[in-house]
Amino acid sequence: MSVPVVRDRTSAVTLGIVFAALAAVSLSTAGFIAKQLVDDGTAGVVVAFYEVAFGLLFLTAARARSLRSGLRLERGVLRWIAIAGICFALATASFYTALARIDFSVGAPIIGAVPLVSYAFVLLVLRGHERLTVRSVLGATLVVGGVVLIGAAN
Amino acid sequence: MEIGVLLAIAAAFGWGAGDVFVRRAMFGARPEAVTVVVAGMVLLALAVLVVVTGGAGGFAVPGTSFLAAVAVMGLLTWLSGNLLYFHGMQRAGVVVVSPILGMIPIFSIALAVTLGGERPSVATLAGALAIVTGVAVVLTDRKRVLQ
Repeated sequence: MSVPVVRDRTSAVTLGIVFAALAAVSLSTAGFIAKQLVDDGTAGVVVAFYEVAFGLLFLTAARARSLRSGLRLERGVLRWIAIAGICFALATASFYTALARIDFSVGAPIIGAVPLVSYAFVLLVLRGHERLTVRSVLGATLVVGGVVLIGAAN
Repeated sequence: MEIGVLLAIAAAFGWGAGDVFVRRAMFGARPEAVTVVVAGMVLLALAVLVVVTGGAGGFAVPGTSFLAAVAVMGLLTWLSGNLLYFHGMQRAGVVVVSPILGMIPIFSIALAVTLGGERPSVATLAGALAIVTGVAVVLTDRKRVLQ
């Protein structure tokens, strides 16, 4: 019985990896468009605000049926979401403001450091739920090393 | 260090921390619900920032082409970006999917080459190779997620 369960879990993980790769392509493209807008003189924080406003509109429209049944959240969950929301708001506003001052080919590689920051917070917030292995830390270090190389080259 | 670089580093900290908080929130809620409420929180916080930095006039829209561009960005960032990423995080965990976001510079360079006409240097290509190798190393460890 355990073999199909493990196979299902492997499929779920593989699907999760594919989703993350598609998300990375989408986020890169959005950053590229943001660079054009802030270069035209619009403040990064304004670009970020309207981007999220449209994003929320599309999300609500696309997932209305599934949201109707599950938007009631516990207070503990809401607390984590509130902290995440503030982090994302500051991150987006900072990055789009940065793009008005630096090239996209310089700013984007810096974002490649996200995995290492996440790993630090995994140790603080997800202890007991997710574990860091030597190989995952080595891989993340290679990613950040590559990002530094690209940043230095540009 | 240039202020633009410092702001980009601050952004990396914000996104890196935010991803882990979202993962924590998803222990008690589905990705769709978390994505929508996070987007609402982000909108609220950005509205405050717009007012603080530019007053009520800060919300002025530069033109229809701007609205079209931010609409596309909203679609890319929240529907095919964060919603998919949060689904991926729920299935595979932060430790596995987070380095995949580290591939953003590669996609960015691809955009710069195809749309911006830039030619990447040898160092840039070497950096891209290191990133791909790093992601591959993490992905070979994904079976530990099953444990």
